[in-house]
Amino acid sequence: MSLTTAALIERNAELWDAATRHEFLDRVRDGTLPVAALSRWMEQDYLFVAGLTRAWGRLLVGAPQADFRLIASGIDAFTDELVWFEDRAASLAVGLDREPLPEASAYIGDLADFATSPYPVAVTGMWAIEVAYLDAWQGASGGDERFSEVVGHWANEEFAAFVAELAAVVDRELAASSEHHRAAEDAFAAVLSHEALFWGLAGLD
Amino acid sequence: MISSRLWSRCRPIAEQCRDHPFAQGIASGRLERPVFQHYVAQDAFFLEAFARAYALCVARAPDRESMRAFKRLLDAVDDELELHRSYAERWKVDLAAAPTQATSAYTDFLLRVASLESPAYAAAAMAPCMRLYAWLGQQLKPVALRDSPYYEWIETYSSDEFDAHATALEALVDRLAGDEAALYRHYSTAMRLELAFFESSLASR
Repeated sequence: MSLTTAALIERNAELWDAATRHEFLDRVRDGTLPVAALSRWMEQDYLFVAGLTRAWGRLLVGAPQADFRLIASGIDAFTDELVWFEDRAASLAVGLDREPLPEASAYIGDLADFATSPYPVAVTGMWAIEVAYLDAWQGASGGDERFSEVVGHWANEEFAAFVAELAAVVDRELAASSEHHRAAEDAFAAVLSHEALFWGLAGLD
Repeated sequence: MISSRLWSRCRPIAEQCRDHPFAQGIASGRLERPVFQHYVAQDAFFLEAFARAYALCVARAPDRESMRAFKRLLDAVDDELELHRSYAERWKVDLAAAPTQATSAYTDFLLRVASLESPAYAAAAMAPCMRLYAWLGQQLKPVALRDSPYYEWIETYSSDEFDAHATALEALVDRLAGDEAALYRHYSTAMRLELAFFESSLASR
């Protein structure tokens, strides 16, 4: 049976919604999110991106040479993103020396496992992280101006193009490796479950 | 500095490489074409592993500065791979050729060190390739025939740009540091594998 990026999202609709729709994002969009909640979330996301950068190093180890440049551009984007967080640390009161909360710690721990899986599984997991992120932030865009700079950092055309390129790699890999479909879908679902919990780290409840 | 001591101690092997009929044949232009074709294919295989070893260093870098430095070196290898693709077209080289024993011995060594040991030791295992080629390019340039069909090779490796990459990797060896005896073991092993790589190219006739 064929498995594609589109099918993965469609077949896991409930998980997809939980990962990409959250009160945190709604309140970013309508501008009612307390800044302290954004700061708490960013502190954890900063730790996550640091782990993600390393995971993409591992992703390249198992990648075909044709994908080296795309993966290298991802590593650059994530290291730039760490600087972006650091540049906003003072104005948004983001502590850059926090310990990861249990949900973040579990997600960061799983990153290394995803990245060192067989390449079709690894690249599916890494795409899942990015596509869920893109969709979530696109959903938070177009509202109140208050957080537009933060929203625009993720909901933008450049990031969307990167995610589309990554999806094409996943589709190519899945088409050539039916033996990895089950593990790839497990990785996809695991990422979405982590993503759904991650928004909660803003501590809105 | 550690890196200059490592290089000095291995200088006799570097001289053996420079005086080797393979390097001399590149400079004089008398190297037989099939030998160069064989070398380009093996070197392309080697560089792919070299890129993966850098990616592991990115994943395991102890700090942001070294992570970025390894990433820039990874990009440089990517550019070199591109150069090999253009060589391959002009020289009608089959880049899908299987690695020889000499090539495998070298790539296995690098990937083992990069996977199992800290990036300082990986850098020590990788620096000889960079410094040796920069040195060979600079040593051979004054004596090379300008109409050698292999003059482009000499120009690439004698360039300031390539020297800067070698220096950047040596700076990582110096900054990350470690047990110098162990660093020397890796450095000298890599130097001997370089010499064996030349031997094996010549033996391909």
